[in-house]
Amino acid sequence: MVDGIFAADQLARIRDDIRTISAMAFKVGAGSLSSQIKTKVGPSMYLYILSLEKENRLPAAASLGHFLSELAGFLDAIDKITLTLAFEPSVDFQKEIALWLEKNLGTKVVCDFAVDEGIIGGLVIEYHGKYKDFSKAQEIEPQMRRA
Amino acid sequence: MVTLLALTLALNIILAFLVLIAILKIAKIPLVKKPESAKNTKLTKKLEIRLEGEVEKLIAAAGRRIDAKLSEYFQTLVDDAQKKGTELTGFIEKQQESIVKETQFLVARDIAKLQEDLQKYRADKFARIDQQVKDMVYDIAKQVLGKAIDVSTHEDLVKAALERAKKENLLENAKH
Repeated sequence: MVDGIFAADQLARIRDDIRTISAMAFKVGAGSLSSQIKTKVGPSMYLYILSLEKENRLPAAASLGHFLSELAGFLDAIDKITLTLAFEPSVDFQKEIALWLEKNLGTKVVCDFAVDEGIIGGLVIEYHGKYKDFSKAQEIEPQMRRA
Repeated sequence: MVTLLALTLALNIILAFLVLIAILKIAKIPLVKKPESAKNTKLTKKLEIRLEGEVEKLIAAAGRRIDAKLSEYFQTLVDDAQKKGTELTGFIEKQQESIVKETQFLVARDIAKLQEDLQKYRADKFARIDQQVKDMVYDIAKQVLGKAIDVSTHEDLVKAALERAKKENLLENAKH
């Protein structure tokens, strides 16, 4: 499941799903957990829980809360990087960028993509409190101001 | 003026009356006429004429002196009035001149300050308008340029920016 997460909004959705499942875990319901959560969580979380059930790796109800808490902690620990682009990136391009970053950073990373047409082109990066503007606007601003 | 003339006239009459009494006393002539003899009557008549002449002379002399004195006083009054008038005119002229000069100075100073303020205001306004125009041109240019770039080029620009970030160790430094 974690391999499929590359964007911050996906991560936010997974966190919401964990909260939903945590709330449901203490209620007695008919059928498996996956069947109960199917319509209430995102597909990736549903498939993840379903796969755990099939492999008999899903913890018992008593320890399910602890398992979900650990999962949330693990997701929170994933590195985040904010990338501002001048256009709306396709999902494929988002994935490509995330993979490139993972490769070069040597760690799992999720990207928070923001769009600002004012930067013209290129990229603005915010990572671990650092900010760097690699945009075209930054490059041509002095010339444009002079003009 | 009328009061002064009336006073003078009254003074003349009193003076004439006093002179008459004095003469009568000197000549030992009683004020109330007593029955006299024909001889005395003739003498008295002559004396009367003489006295009248003397009294007229005295009155005329007193009148002349009073006229001269009055004339002198009037002249002094006129001179004083003229002098005061001249002084007042000079004072007024000086004050007028001073007020005009002060007003001219104040007006000139106000105009200079007004011109300076106006100049500054104009310069500020022009600078602000200039900046606003530049900002507008800049914003429009950014939008136009951004839209003119196709998605593929945008993606290439992003990749190139990432490579630059890598070269500048922005990503390396953040490891672990």
